[in-house]
Order: sequence, then C-alpha cells, then structure tokens
Amino acid sequence: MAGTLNGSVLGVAALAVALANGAWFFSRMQRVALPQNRIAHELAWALALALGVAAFVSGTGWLGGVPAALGAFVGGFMLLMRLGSPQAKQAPAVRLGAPILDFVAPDENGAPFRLASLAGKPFLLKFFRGHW
Amino acid sequence: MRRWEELRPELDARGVEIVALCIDTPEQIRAGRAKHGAKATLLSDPELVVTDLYNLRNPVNFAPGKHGVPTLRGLPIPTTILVDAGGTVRWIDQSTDYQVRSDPERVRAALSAAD
Repeated sequence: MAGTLNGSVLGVAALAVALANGAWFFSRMQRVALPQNRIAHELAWALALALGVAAFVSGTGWLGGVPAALGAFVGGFMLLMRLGSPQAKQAPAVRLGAPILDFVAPDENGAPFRLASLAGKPFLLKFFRGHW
Repeated sequence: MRRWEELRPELDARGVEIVALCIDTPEQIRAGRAKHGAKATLLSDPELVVTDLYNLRNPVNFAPGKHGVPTLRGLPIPTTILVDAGGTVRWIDQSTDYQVRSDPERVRAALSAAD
C-alpha cells in the first residue's frame, strides 16, 4: 500500500517536471531564445524519465501509472530529439567572395524560379530544415 | 520565418530580397504562406536537389515524417547566405544545432558589415 502511494507521488512528480520543463523549453524556442547550453533542460528531461521509471519500480496503480508513463515518455523523447539536434559539419559548395551558384526551383505556384533572375539585387538565400 | 519579418524594414531599405527554400511541395507552401503571411520568395526543394548542389544535406535527422511520425531522413542544414548585387557571396551563417536558430540580430550585423 505504501509502495503504491509512493509510486503515485513519483508518477505525478514525473509528469509535473515534464510539463513545467516543456512549457519553459517551448516558450524559449518560440521566442528564438533557446541557448546553446541547455543543460538545465536536459537534466529536467532526465529527471522526468527517472521519476517515471522509479514510479513503476516502486509499484503504482493507474492513478500514478498514467502520469508516470507520460512523464517518462516526454522526458525520454525530448532527450532523444536533443541527441539528434546537432547538425553535420560540412563545407557548403559556395565560399565567401565567390559567385553564388545558380539554380532553378519551383515557387509556390509550381512555376520555375531561376536565382539568376535576381541579378543586380542583393538577397538572402535561406535553406530551411523543415516545413513552414 | 516570423522572426525574419522583423528585419523587413531594414531589408527593404537596403533593397535586399529574401529567397527561402524548404522541403514542402508548392501546395504546402501556399497553405503555409496563408498561415504565416511571409513576403519572401518561397521555393520548393522536397528532393533536396538544390540542397545537394550547395552541399547542405544533413544525411541523418530524427524528424517528423509522414503523419508526424518521427523518422530518420535527410534534411537541409539550416543556412543563410548573403549575396550582394554582383552575385558574390558576402556572408554564410550555418546552424550547428537546429534547436538554436540564427538570430536576426546576426543578419543585421552582417548587412551592416557588407555595406
């Protein structure tokens, strides 16, 4: 009985840590204010994962089990995403002081857009990692 | 993209256009523009053809794929290149970590330096 109670407390704590850390993390990401060093976030994700696992180890009913599973999943998932966030280091095919490479790509209407059509104008060329 | 629109007055004053490539199809870009209202020229590169031309493919990413299920796939390394009116590369900014985005402040500094 005591074990189940402790497990429930641990499970709720796991979810609370995951939610609080998530709210902080995503609000910083939204403001483009996420620092290079995110050790506090990483420790909190690990804590949520550990608390969730500890809840199951000490035994818990569904009351603690549901938040324990959620907290552990979010913590583990976010740690996994963090492992994959550093980008490969490789030299781009263009260099400072060298001419830009021309290309043709479809615009939002599917019409071909040639980069060289911007000749005579300065521009920023951006490669996005994902979707809009 | 929202943060980039903050630079719009300065970009306009200098006559700097924005050309952005993403992995969406033209249909998805149209839908995205309706949502974000960005004014840049948005180009579609779902097969990473232009990304490969510029050698910017990060081969292994753990990212949402079809139906939002995280999958391993190749994606562009987030990169910004400033090109002057003569077609010469003046500044290259590359992300070392995609969770940390390139700050518009750094673009502002590069624009001033390129004057």
